[in-house]
Amino acid sequence: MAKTSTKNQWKAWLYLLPTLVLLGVFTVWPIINTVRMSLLEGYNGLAMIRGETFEFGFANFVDVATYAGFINCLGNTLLLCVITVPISTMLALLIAVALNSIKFIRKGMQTIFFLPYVTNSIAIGMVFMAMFSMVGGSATNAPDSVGIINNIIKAFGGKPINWVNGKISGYDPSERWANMAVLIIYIVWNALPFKILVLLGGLQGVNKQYYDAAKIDGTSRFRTFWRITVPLLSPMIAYVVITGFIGGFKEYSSVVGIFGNNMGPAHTNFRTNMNTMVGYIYDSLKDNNQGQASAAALILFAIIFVVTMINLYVSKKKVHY
Amino acid sequence: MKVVLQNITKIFASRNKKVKDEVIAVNDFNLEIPDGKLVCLLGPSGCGKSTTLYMISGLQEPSSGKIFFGDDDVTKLSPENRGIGLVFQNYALYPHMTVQQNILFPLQNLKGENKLSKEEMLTRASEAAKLVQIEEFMDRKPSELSGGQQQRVAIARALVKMPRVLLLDEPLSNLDARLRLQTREEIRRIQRRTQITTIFVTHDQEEAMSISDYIVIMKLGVIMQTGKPQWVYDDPANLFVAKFLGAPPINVFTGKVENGKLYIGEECVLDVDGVEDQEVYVGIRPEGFILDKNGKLSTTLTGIDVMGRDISVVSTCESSLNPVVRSIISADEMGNIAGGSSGSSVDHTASADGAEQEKANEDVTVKFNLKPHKVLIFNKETEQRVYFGDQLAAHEQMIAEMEAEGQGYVTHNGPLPREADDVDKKATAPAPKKNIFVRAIDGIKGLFSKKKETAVSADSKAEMTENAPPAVDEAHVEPTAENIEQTAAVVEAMAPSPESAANEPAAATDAAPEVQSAPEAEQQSAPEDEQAATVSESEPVAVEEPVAAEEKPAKAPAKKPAAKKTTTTKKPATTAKKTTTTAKKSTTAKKTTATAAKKPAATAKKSTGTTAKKTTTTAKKPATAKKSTATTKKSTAAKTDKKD
Repeated sequence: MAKTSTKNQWKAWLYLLPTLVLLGVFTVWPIINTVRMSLLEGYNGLAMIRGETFEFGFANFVDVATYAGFINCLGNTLLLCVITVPISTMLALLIAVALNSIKFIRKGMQTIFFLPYVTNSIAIGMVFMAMFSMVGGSATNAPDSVGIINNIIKAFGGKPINWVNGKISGYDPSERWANMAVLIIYIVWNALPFKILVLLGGLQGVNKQYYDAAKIDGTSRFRTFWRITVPLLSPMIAYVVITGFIGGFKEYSSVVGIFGNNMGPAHTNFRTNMNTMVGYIYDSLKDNNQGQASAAALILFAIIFVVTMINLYVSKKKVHY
Repeated sequence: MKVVLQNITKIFASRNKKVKDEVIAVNDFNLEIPDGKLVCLLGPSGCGKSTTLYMISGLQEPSSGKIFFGDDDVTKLSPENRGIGLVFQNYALYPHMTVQQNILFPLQNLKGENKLSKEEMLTRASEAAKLVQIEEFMDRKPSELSGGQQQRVAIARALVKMPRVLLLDEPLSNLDARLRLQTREEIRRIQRRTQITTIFVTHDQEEAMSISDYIVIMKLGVIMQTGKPQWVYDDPANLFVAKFLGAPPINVFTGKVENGKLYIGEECVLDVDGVEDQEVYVGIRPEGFILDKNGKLSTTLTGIDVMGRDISVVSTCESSLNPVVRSIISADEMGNIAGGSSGSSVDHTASADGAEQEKANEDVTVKFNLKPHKVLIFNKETEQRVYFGDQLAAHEQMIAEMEAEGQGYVTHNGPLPREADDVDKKATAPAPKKNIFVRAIDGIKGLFSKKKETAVSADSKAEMTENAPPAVDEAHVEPTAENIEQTAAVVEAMAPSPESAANEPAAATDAAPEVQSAPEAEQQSAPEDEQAATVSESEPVAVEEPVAAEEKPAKAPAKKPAAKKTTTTKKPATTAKKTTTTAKKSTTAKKTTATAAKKPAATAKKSTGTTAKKTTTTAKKPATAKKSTATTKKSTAAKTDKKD
C-alpha cells in the first residue's frame, strides 16, 4: 500500500505541476522578491542591472514612513475607508431591505442598482469628472463652463464649487474637502451594487416566519429591522464590511478616473494631494524606486492584515451565524 | 375569550393571471369556540385549517366574513392588536437571542401605558418559563435546545403577554414520536392551568382526539363535523369523518339495504330498522367485529397481527373498499382462530403449519357477527350518514348535550366537496400504477384476448342465428371449447352487477335466451376481463379452495343449470385469477367432474372461467383445458338436453 503510493507519487506531482509553476512564478516569487527588495536599501532595478549592490537594512521603510507624500496618501486612504465603508454598507442594507419588501419593480430596480458593477471604473470616473467640473474662473471672474452639479448649485442660487479642477493660482486647502466629497460619493456609489446583491441574497434566505412572529408581537418596524433583520443578516454584513475595507485600502482607479494621472486637482502646484497608498506604490515604481515601493506595499499589507483581524474579532462577538 | 367565526371565506387568486382559476381555501366557515376550551382543527393537508388559523391570528385577511373575539369584531384588526399568541409549526424562535431574550421580546414591544418596568418583564418572563419548565435554559440559544424544549420556549413566548387566544399551528409535527406524546400532554396541562382559549391545528387524528375538548373536522375548506372527540368517533356525520377518525381506520364495504336488512355482498349481516331500501356504504369499526363460527359476515383470512393486548385479524372481502378488512379482537379469543378445530369460527380446510401457513390462510374463511353500534351506514350517493335502530336517538341526545354545553353542533349537510378523483376511483377499485412495461404487456394481452373473443362471438353468432328460431337444442351447437368459454364470459359479465343479476332469473328459466344473449354480453365482457385481471393482481380476492368450489355446485340442485351459474360463477371466476397452480388444480378438477357427469354446467363454467381469464398468460393451458372441456361438453350437452 505504502509502496504503491510512493511509487506513484511522481504522477501526483506531475498533475500538480502546472498549478505549482504558475503559483510559484506569479505569486510566491513576487512575494518573496517584494520582501527582498524592501530590505535592500535604496533598491533600484536599473542600478541592479548596472551591477550596483545594495546594503541590507530598513532604510526603505524609514524613508517611506517619514516622507510627507506617503503620510498624505496613508491619511487619504484611511479617511476614505472609514467614511465610505459604513456609509455604503448602511445604504446597501436599506436599499436591500426596500428592494426585498417591494414586489412590483424589484427586477428593474435590481438591474439599475447593479449597473455600476459592470461598468468600467475609469469610465465612470471620467463621467464624474465631467459632472463635477468647473473650467476657468478665479476669485473675481465667473467660470467659463461648469458641469451639471455646479449648474444645479447655480440654479438654486449657490456659488459654483471647484470640485475637481484646482485653481491655477495655487493650492487652496479648503478645496480638499470638496475633492474628497466627490471621491467619497464615487466610491460609495461604485461599492453599492455588490453589497446590495449580497445583502439581498441574505434577506431572501431569512425565514418569513420571524417577521410573522414579530408582527404578532406588535414589533415596530424599526425594532424589527434592528432586532431581527440586522442580526439575522449579520454574517452577510460582516462579509460586506471586511471586503469593503480591503477594497477601500486598495482604492486607486477611482482617483485616476476623476483626477487623472496627477492624482489630484489639475493645475495645482501640489499635485498628488488626493493620492492613495496604491497610488504611492505606483508612483514609486514609476520613479524606479522599487525598494520604497516594496516597503510601501508591505506596510499596506500589514495595515490591511491588522484591520481585517480587528474586523474578524468584532464580528466574532457580534455576528450570529 | 369566546371566538366566533362567521361565514369566513378565503379565496386565493391563481398565480397565473391569465387563467382565472381561484382556490377556495376556506368556504363559508361558521364556528363558535367556547371560552377556555382547547379546540382542534383537524383535516387532511390542504383542507384550509392553517389558513383558518392564520385568519384568526390576523396574518391573513378573510376574503369575506367576520371574526369575533368575545363581542369585539376583530376582522379588520391587525395581529398585534388582537391579543393573540401564535406558536408556529417550526417555532420561529429568534436564533440570535437567548431563551430569555426570546421570551422578553413581546414584552419589550409594549408601548404607552402597557409598558413594563425591567423587573416586571423579568418576573413575567420567569413565570412563563416556569409554567413550561424551561427556567434552567434561560441563557441558552434556541439552537442549543432540543426540539421539545424549543417548542416549550415558543409556547412561553406566546403566553408571556397573556394572550386572549392561543393559536398553535401543527406544533408537534417536528417532534419525534415519544416527545410528541409527552409534549401534547404538556400542552394540555398548560392549557388547563391557564384556561386560555386555545386553537390547535393538526392533521394527526390521534393527537387531536387525545388532547382536545372539541374537534372540528374539515375537508377542502368546509367543516365536516364538530363535537367532542368521542362523539365524533362514535357518531360521524358522513363517510369522510368516519374514515378520517380512528386507527386502524374504519372498514368500509359496499352494501345495500333491502327490507330492513343490511346486505354486504350476498350476505345479510344485520337488521336495520327504519331504513329505506338503498345502496349504501357500510363502515364497521375494527372493534365492531365478533368472531363467531355462525357469523353472518364471512371474509377470507390473510393474516393475524399480534399486538399484545389485542390481536388484529386481517382478512379480505370482495365488497370491502379497503384492501384488507382489519378487525381487532381481544387476545383472549386468539385460540378461536389459531388452534381450535372445535368451536372455531374459522373454517379450516388446510393445514396451518410452516411454509403452508400463508397459503393456508388464503383459503380460510373467517366469520364475524357485528356489533350494531359500531356499524355505520352511509348513503352511497351523498355519503351522508343513515341512522338505524337506536343510533338516531343517540345522535339526537348528543346534539342536545352539545347545545347544553354551549357548543353548537355543526355539520355539513350539502353534497360533500370532492376532489376530482376522490371517491369515484375508489368505487371502481383502482389498480395501482404499474410501470410502463407491465402496462404495455397488459395492453397486448388485452388485444389478443379481444381478437380471440370477437372471432369467437362472430362465429357463435352465426351458429346462434341458425339455431335461434327453434328452441335451442344444445346438442346442435358444436360443443367447442370456445362456446363454453363464451357462456362462462356471459355469466361472469352478469353475475357481479346487480342489474344483470336481476335479469338472470328470466334468462335462467330456459337456457335458450341466455345463449342468445351471449354475443352482446361477450362484447361487454372483453374489456371487463382485462379489468378483472388487473384487479386480481393488485388486490387479494376472496379465493375459495378449488375443492370447496367443486363441492358447492355439487350440492346445488342439478335441475337448473343456468340459475346455478349465477350463484356459483363468482367463485370459479376468482379461482381462475389464481396462479397457474390453482389453474392446474381446476383443470384437474374439471377432469374429475367430467367423469362425474352429475354437475355438468358448473364444471364447464369453471374450466372455461379459467381459460377465459388466462388467455395469454397460460397459453398452453387453454389447449389442455379445451381438451378436457370438449369431452365434458358432449356429456354436458347431453345432460342439458335431457333436462330440457
